[in-house]
Amino acid sequence: MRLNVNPNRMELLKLKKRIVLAHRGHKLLKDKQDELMRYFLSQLTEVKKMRKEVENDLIKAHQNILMARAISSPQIVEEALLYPSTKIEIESSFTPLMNLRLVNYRVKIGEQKLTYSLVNTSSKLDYALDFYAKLLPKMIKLAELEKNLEIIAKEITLTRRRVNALEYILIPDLKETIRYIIMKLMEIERGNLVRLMKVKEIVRKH
Amino acid sequence: MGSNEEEMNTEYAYASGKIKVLEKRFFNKQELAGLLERSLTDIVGELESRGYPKIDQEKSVIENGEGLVFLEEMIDKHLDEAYNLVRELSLNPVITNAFLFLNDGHNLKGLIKLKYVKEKKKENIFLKRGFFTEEELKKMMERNIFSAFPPGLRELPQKAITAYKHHKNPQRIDFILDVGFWEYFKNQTGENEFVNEIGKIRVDLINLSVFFRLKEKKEKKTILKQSLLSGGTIVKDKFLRNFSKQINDFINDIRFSPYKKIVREGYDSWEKEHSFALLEKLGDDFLMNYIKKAKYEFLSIHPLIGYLLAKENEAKNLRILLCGKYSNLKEEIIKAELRETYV
Repeated sequence: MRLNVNPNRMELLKLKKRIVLAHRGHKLLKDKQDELMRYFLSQLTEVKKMRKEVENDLIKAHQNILMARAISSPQIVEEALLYPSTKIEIESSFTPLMNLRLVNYRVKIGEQKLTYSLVNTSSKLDYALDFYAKLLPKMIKLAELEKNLEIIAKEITLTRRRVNALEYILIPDLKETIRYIIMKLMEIERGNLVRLMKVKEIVRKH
Repeated sequence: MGSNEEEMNTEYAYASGKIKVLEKRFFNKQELAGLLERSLTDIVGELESRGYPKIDQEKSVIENGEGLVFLEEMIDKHLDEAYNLVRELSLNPVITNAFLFLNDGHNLKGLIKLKYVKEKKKENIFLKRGFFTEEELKKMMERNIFSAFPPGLRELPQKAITAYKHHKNPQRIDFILDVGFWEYFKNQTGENEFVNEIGKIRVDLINLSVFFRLKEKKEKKTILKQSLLSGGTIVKDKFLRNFSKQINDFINDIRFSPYKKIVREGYDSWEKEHSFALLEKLGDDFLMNYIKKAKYEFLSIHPLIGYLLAKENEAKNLRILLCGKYSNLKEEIIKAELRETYV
């Protein structure tokens, strides 16, 4: 769609500058999109693999805790887990990537203490808790990777929309408008020429 | 047999008769294994036909993951009923109460920990089969007066609270209450040879499990010292002496005890699978084989105690079976976890 501008040389110069800028922006955005896509795909494989691992480990841990409940009774396990056995601190920081702020979680797991009675509980509870303790850093790492993928995916969508807008709307519109202004200017030029020739002819007759 | 004892024994005729009838409702090992092949709705039907309380839930609820909670409640209620029945039928409240006080010990641990946990959760942590009800214990906690407990127990809650406040370690509560309540149990049941032996076996099995689990976790010897219960046939010193030694030294040290085979097999299994599940299972089976003696006695408290512990064992087996089914464990794994049955 042609832009609503006055067809004069000044506008033409402005539009020519804009189209150069638009091409440069398009190239940059296209490069960004390609790089984000490459990063996204490389991370995606790792995240998928990790999620599968975490899910399998979680199933095992849940089975152990269910068995611990079965052997000792649900109330005894609930009571045993009433008091947290360790202190966990999670620190988050940001890593820049192509103007994005990717999250980075760091887990500090304190010394793990036995906070329940071994008299009433089953050894299955120990295994389940050990399993969860080993699984927790992995789960947090997975959360970090998935969050970053989400951020990247959003950015890819946004960049793709920008690239498409430039490629299919702004640049064609600018081109069409420039062509229109050039045509219009040429027409004015031709009109002027005809007028001049006409004037010249009238002058010659007199 | 003295005339007094004879007179007392005949008073158990009604109780023994009732228990004998109820024993027929127990699942044997084949019947339990048979449940594995049946649907969860069928299992509920089977349990209801054996005197378990009815659960008013749709088939779809029972069949999905949420159903486990209702089935656990069903088993729990039935166990509460068994405790109430034994309490009612027993002519020796000292012995039956000793079993009930062990559950009070658990409830007290929960109450004390709840009082000091910052984030208070209202979860189902109380057993309804204690000597005191949950409300009575809560009132005692509020008033900080435990005089309703018999001597030997009444000073324990305060001791546990003081130890917790001093060390800021909830395990101190467990140490004091576990050791104290089990010591009381042993003292109260000492006169009855059968129940005393049950107590000894349970203490030995608990101590064995505690010893191996702490050794695996590479905990300090002081933790073991505080966790071990008194009154078993394996003296505490044997555990403490062998804590930093090789397991084979310990097995050699207990070579004359009846647990040698259990410990050897349990340890071999740990070497292969890094799990003490077999040790615990063999221990439970050992206890059950001893309790089975009660089936052949009539005019004493023994069938009642046998029934009570067999019900506990059946509840454990049913929970294992149902948990296994709900979490889609393989049949062989579930079968391997099932304990010896009373009948």
